[in-house]
Amino acid sequence: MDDQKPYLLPDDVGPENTRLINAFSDACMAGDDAEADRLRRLALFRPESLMALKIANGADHIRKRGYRTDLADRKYGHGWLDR
Amino acid sequence: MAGWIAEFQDALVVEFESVNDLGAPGALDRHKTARRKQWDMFQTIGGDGSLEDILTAEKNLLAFELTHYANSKAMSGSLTEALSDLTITQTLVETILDPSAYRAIDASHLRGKNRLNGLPRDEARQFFRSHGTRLLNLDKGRLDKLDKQIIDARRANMRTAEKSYIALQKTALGIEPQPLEQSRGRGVGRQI
Repeated sequence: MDDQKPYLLPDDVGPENTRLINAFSDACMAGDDAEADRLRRLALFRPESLMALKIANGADHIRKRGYRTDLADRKYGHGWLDR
Repeated sequence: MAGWIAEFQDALVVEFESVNDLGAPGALDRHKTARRKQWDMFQTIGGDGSLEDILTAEKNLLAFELTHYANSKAMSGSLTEALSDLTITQTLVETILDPSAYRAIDASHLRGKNRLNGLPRDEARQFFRSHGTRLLNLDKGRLDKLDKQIIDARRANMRTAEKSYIALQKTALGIEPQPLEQSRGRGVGRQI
């Protein structure tokens, strides 16, 4: 979809973010909660995942869990979390 | 927030990050492991029989499907409707704990077609059935074994949720549980 182009490859989504997401995934699957929690606050996850978490659990949930919203802010516009 | 839901959400995030580029090293393994974990958790939640947990897990998965996969108006509409009906069901699950509040719902479902074995066929009962059917329709040929196992577990959970909800309906309306599960007809045993 055309409207996805602006955020698909922003400057901060590169090998370093891939490394963080892979490490986060491995920590989750290994049940290493502390490491997963640390990496969850560093990685840039797909905007659709954050939107899904907001729909199912509310905006406060996103804040409490410490997700970075940079990509979602770009896709949905600033203030999306409270709309 | 219960620990399991955080774990479940992480498994969903991992699935949808890995599916983004399944050709990347390790992505297929992560994708499979994340879905296997979801399957395990759906089974555990269903086994525990907690209505709230079943609904919370289903809501999270539906929201991910809506934001990641809905690529047609029909699919988007169906998922949006399911999420909306699920939210109403969550509200009813709270309401039903207050018998006086639930008696008002009972009184607004008096017509025969709005009752099932003497109990209100309220929006929660309708959701469990319609969502079970929706999940059955998802069970198509081009899914892998794990996809089908997840759908089966979700369908089983809808049946479990309905049974738990029926028990709550009976408690709220003062109807004695019937051990043999044999209906004695509409309205029998109601003590309002």
